Amino acid sequence: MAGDDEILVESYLERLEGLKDMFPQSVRNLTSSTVSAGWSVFGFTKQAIWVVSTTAMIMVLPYVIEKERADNEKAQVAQQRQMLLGPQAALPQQGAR
Amino acid sequence: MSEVAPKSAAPEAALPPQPDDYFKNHPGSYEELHRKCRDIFPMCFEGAKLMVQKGLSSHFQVAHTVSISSANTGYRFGTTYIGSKEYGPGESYPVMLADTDGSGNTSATVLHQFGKHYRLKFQGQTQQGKIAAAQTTIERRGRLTSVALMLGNTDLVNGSGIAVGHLLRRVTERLDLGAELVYQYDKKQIPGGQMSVLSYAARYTTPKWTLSSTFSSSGIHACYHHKETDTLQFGVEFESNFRMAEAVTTFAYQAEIPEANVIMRASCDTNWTVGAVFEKRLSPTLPFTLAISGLLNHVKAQGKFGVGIIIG
Repeated sequence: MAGDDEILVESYLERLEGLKDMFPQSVRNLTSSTVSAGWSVFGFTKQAIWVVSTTAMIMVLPYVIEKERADNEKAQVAQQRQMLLGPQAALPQQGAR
Repeated sequence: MSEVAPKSAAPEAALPPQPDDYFKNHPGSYEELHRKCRDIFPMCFEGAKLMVQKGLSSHFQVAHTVSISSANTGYRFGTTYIGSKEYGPGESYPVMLADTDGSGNTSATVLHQFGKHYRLKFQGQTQQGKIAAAQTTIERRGRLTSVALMLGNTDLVNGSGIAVGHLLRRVTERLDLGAELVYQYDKKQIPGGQMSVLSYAARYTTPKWTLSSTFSSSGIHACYHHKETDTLQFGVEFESNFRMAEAVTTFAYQAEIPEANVIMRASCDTNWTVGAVFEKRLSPTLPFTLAISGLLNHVKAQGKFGVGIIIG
């Protein structure tokens, strides 16, 4: 009887890594570049979101907060006038005074 | 007119002085070429600032400023004197401005108008007891033209100085053209002893937008100002320096909320810098104004923030 071949002793990681041999080289290359592209898109998106949000916080946020407050006050005043004087009072004044 | 004017008390003396529209079409001075656009840009500051402005009389005003920041901590005292000779609505001469800080470093400006056409301005700055800068400007304002000559840092002992000539003329109702010549004389610091730079300026104004630019061999500086509504204005500025091969474009906007007494100015530029100043008057009757400022540089990931209160 032919002697048994030496049983190749491999660790688990080496066995998993060997599984990649089942794919052709082109598939392996494509997967590798797609995954790295995915990571760099993720990194770029992180930075873009940071830049856009901090820029908006500085350039836009205080103005928007104050505009909301002013509009709320105007709406409240209009509502109060409507309650006191009837629904026509809340409309913007029309006609010459 | 065929009326016979009475020889006794002239009837014109009873009429109030009519606003003079001789300067109705005046283009302004050359230094103010980009004024409309530059006014929109925020003046970002860092640290805490308290400014108290008080008018001691209709001619005299003082301002105390206390600033605490990592760049400079100190107290500044400023005064403004406006004389009584009135040449137009809101323009009275002579005007004297001065600013000192705790250690005696002063800067002062004196402006005076002679007759209808001539304006003279002196500016000086002292640092640690010595004059650091001094400049004199004489300007003639014609009906459509402004011609100015500025002499700066004239040092007869060391033979150095700067002379600048400006010309700005209104060519059509919307177009202003001008030129500037800067001449610098310094035996020691400039190879050859003297150098000069000539630049041309043009400004096109429409009711909604203004485009102003200066062209020279050392760079192009262009500004575009757009007034969208009474409360919203935009500005774009392009500045380039051919000698250093760099250019910066800045976009800015100014938005006001009159009901809440809020003025917001913000800008962002191609150097990845974002800045904004938010001013709010805290009470319609009391003269307190709150100002908050933020400046963020994305490349260096550094931010500088400031808060200030202006009283008066």
